[in-house]
Amino acid sequence: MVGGRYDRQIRIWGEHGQKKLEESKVCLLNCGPTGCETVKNLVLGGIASFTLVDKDTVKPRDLGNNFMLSTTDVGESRAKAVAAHLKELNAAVVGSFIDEDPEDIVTDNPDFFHDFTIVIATQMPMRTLMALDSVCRKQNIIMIVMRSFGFIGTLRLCIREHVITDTNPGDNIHDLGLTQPWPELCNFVSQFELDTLDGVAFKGVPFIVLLLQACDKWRAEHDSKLPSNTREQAAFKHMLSAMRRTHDEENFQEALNAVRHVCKPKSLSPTLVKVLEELASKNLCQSTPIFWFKISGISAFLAKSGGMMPLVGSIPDMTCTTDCYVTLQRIYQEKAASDAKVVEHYVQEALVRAGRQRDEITADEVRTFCRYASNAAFLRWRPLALDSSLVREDKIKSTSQGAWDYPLSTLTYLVLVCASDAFFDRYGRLPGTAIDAVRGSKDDFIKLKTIADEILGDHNLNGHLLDNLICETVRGGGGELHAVASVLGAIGSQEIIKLVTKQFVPCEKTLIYNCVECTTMTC
Amino acid sequence: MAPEMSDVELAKSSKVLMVGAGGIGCELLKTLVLSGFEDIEMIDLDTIDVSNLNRQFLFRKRHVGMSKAKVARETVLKFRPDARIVAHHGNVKDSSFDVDFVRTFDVVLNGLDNLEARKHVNRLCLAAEVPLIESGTTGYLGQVTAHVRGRTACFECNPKPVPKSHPICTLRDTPDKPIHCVVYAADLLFPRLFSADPNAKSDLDEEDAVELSAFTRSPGESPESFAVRVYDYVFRTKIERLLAKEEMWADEKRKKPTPLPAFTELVPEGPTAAAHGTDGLNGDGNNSNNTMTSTACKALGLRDAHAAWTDADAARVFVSSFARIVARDESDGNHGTDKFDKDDALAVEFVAATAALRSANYGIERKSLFDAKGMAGNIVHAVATTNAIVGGLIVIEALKVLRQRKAGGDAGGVATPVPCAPCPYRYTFVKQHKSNSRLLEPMEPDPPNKSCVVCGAARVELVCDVESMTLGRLIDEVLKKKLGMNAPEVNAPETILYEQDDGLDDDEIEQYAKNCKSTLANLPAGGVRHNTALRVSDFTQKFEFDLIVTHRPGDEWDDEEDPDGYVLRGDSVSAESNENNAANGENNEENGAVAEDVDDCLIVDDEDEIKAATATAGTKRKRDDDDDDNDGGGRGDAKEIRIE
Ligand SMILES: [Zn+2]
Repeated sequence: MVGGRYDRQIRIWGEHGQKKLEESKVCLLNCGPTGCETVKNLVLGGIASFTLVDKDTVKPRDLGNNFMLSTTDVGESRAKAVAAHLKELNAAVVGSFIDEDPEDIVTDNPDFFHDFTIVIATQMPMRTLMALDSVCRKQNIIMIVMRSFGFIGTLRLCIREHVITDTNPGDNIHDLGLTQPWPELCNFVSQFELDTLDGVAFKGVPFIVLLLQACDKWRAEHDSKLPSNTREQAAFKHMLSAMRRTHDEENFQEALNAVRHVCKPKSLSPTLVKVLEELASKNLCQSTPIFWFKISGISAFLAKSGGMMPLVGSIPDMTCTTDCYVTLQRIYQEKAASDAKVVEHYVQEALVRAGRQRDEITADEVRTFCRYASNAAFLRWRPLALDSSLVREDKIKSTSQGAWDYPLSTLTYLVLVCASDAFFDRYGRLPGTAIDAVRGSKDDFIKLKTIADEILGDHNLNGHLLDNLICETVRGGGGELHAVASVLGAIGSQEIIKLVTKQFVPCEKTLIYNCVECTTMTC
Repeated sequence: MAPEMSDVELAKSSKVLMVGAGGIGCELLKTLVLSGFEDIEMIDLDTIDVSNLNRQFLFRKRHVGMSKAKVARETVLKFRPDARIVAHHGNVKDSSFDVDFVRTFDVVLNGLDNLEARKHVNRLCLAAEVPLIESGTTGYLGQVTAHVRGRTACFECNPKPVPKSHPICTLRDTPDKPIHCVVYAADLLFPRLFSADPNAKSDLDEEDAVELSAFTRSPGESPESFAVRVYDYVFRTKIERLLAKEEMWADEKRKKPTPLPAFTELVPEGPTAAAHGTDGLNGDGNNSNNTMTSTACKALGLRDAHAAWTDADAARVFVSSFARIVARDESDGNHGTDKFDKDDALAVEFVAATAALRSANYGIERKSLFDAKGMAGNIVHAVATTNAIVGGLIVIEALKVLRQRKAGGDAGGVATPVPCAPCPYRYTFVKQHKSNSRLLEPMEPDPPNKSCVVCGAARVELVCDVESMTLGRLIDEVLKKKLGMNAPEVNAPETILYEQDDGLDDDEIEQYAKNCKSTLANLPAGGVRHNTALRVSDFTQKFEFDLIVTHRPGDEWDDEEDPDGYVLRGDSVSAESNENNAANGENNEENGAVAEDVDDCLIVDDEDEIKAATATAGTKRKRDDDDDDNDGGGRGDAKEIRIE
């Protein structure tokens, strides 16, 4: 709706993105500030529902870092209290809560998660997360893992497969299809008899016409071939320049700038290449998402066109008369429509082959898809289980040694995060959360340092983490600083929105946020 | 060494001023309170709109229309009854928020939307020697910058590109972009047709006297006949006349417009049916409410706000919304609607329809109702997540600034910089997370710019025609609008030309009013001519500089190049009129030239664009952390754009 509650965000991700968000069912595990801030942003955006899982009651210290709790909530169920405040934010969102330990649900009732689109796991130990990962992975549920401790926050997405139609690449290079001009375009081009035009009309010939006429001339002299290497391109430019009458014809300048358009078709984006490779390994069937059928249409089109993508139908601004421009616009739009028709035909064939309804994908959907297809992307996240052993090991080994001093390197933080994970798994709590705060923090310091040294030893790395850094980590402890939770939660909700709307490219690796340095690192 | 204060202690002992309680402001206030800040004052002029609710989470539907500052305070107090928050529902440019007021704070945090107010706060902070944290967001992009007098650049050290103004003749006769058609509809045609003052002159009236009646309703004329008459005039007659001016189209590059078919040809069911659609327009003497509230699109069954209309549908919406606006103004007692308002659904429909028809005239890409609204209302994309990131970053930066300030002695004042010590402050940019870019990009702040008009010692040169530029225009357009002054005082070498003060006597008031109407050349004491140096100051901002006037006669100006009819030059203002900002200008256009909302502003674009922009924006910065695996290029340079 224009002017409504979601007006400002629809301007980013469109009505179709908003619709997907409004169908999303979110589950939050543990109602600490990071998780609450994440869900807060999603509720504001207009998800379908949220379910909060937390076993704790509200303690006075929760009020110090969690805005979704008020003084009157102390002693209440934390999940219940947070749910009530979250519901206040947006009446359209359904909310519920469960007073149970999230870890118990993961072990005892994994089917519980099947109802959700998104599971947000916060402040959980690695071994539980790995179990949850395999549950979500089977259902292709979006899982996001977040943890904040002290001045550091980490975020990791875990999804089996994710496809993006609209990656919002930002560049807007027009594919003009000039390597393979089609009859309507050729007819238009041949109407111009450059020699007969007066000076003014000559300057008003669209550059596309100049280029294609030059191509004809070149082909006639070069065995019907187009200029291929740089030397030939230079010669082609020379030939084009020779057609000029003066040196201030802007249409010729535009033609010279666009010579690459006639030499070879626009190369496919690396992300699309990856998508096509993935398609090749797939057997389209009843359960295959429709994205892959659309892509198979594109793939078949590419095979037939010799590597040329279906045209999008838009043309750049150019120096020419209005008549010419409007005619060219029409020619390109008609070509785009007929290309889309061809793609549609292939898509339908693929659907039928897979035993599905021919009209499962509408002509409109195919047309829209053709517009974005050149930047489509496919992502896959490795299982968390691999993260903690193999890959991390590999990463640490391949990173050069040293850099233990300030400014701290990614390696430093990686070791610190690994050590905290190991601490959590070993002692069932985060460093710095001992009941006896004074003695406990001294103990925790030694424990964490020992674990860090073990990790370093395991990977044959010299040196050790700065005592200061370990001290800070223990001091920050399980206490989530609100400023860190707020930033991390915001990043988390933003990544979720990218995933749900299937727009923009989400983070493929583990993201480490350092609030002191204002940096995000990925590894 | 004395033990360092913890962040919470630091927060507890500091007094902060927040300017703006919108998208960033709500997040900021929450995070401040939860980080231990106990002494917070906040200023905001705005009231709550329904489109704020997707991110300004301290507001509920029942708060629509109420003061943002007051509601934000009340909501936070409900959660944290012991927080000390003072809310001012007012304009930060108001004289009660003066330098002495600002001096009582340890840091000022801006979450503001408009450039004028941001410049004003910058000057207050410089004068009061209080550090300022600036911020802005648009869509997924955002930024936080620290400005500490003497230590880092002030907010105005790097010139801010201003939104491109469109030459009137382009808008009126030779549009070639969608934005031209939208601005024509909203800023020229709309007020010309619907303003309460029937004699209000507009830029559309520079034509033959016989045409002056074209935009005026004849006595007894029905709203829809009037609408059709305007349709035929604007989209047909006027276009035909333009085509007849051959010299105008001598340049072949200029695309010639095509007149549209007559209304009755395009819309076979005729104007009355089109205007009414499925519901009654005027009723039959029995004017029910729903006919007044219904929009043209609803009546015509055009439900998809994202679709581009056909010419016929655009013509229907034109006549229908037009007639509805006329009927509404009539029933309101003919107050008229002076200015386009993006929250007025009928006005939005009228503008979208006009722009669509005009695009058809000129063969320009056609925008949907949704897009036209965004462009005409200068609506900025805004989402909760980016504001939340930026709100958190502001607090973190504020703590750094406060720590430095406390280290400089509790007496206040800015910490004396230690030579060679690394600058503790950061500019942080929030970006889209693409495969090769980081989400957060911290940068070393720029040093102060010695030739900054505001914090340095620069002189500003104004090139204009002294025979036609009036003092009033100089004050309104140059000093207030372009240079962001609040209460300027203008001194010629021999006399005071203008000042604003409650204590003026009647003679002075009369003299200044007379001066404002006078051209520069005719001002008292010999007039202001080529090479006159004016001393300009603003006591509310503790800001003054020399303005050197350079005369360039009227016939030497090119409308296309300098639509304003004057040029400002100066080390730090020059970029405003500089061609180099073309990239920024375009970017602004896409978003509609001027931001309206609270979440706007200074933005660093993504890396690909950063590279392209180095040459133009010139704000080169060094990345200061070199430690991760994303070395995909784009290292180093950034541009700032303002979506304002
Ligand atoms: Zn400055």
